[in-house]
Amino acid sequence: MRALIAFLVGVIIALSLFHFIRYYFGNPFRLMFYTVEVQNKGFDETLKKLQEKLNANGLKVIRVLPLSKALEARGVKDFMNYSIVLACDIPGKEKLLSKVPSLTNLIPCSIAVYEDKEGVKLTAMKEIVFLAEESKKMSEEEIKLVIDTYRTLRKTLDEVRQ
Amino acid sequence: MKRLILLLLFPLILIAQEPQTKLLYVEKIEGIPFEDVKVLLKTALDGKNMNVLEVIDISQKPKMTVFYVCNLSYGEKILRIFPQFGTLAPCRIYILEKEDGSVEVGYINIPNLVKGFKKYFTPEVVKVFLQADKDIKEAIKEVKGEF
Repeated sequence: MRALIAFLVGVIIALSLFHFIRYYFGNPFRLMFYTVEVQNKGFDETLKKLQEKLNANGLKVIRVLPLSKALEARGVKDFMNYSIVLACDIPGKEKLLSKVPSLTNLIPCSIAVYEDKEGVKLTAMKEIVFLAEESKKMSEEEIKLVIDTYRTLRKTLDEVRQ
Repeated sequence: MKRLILLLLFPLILIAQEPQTKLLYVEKIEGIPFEDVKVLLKTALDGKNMNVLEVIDISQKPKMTVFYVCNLSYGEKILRIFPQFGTLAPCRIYILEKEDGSVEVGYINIPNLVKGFKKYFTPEVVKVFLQADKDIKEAIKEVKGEF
């Protein structure tokens, strides 16, 4: 009887673990992107605050690409407010990018700022997919640099959300 | 420790997802100096309406340059449905001088990206992604003198 209970508990734990893995890693959007919904702020205010916070947190803003304005200039009238902020101009990127070129997709980082039906949102990439494939080529310090940069980026997005 | 966690996570990602290969598509260009590849690639990308928004020289030893490339009409079609993909924009294409004098050109592996999201993408979005991939590959072929 005791063995049967232990077996059933084991099965439940295994199934829960499998469900968690499927839930978290099985959805590529959840695996690849970090999105926050901004509270009580309009698009322009969010964009301004994001740039201020990125610079204040050491993730220097390089350029802002006003995508919706560019589309509007081309005659597209019904596109949501949308800008891309190119940031995370971190020291030491030269050596890292020439050693691991796929990280050019992470550094500098692009943050999508957009306003859909639900409100203003901010999305950034997650570093985990790239690091999972490239970590073998990288030193501990280089891995730490990327993880710390993206941890600060997520913290910055959370600060802007409030 | 971080490396250990990442190594432990890698099999989990493989279990949970469709099997995928590299995140990066890479080609080797031989017999053309780095600076010439830089000029030729920019011209070829412009010719494919892949507008080069910015060219950033990353390092001098080894020589590495990143092109930030965007096609507005492709962007409109993708981001209208999947705004999260703005985080991959502008598309980054790098060139890197190798020790043997050849030049490596690379960018995100678009067909693999499409495979990873195939359950979610509409046929129209898949078509746009693959067309962008075709445009970039044709631009690289043009640099190589194969097109």
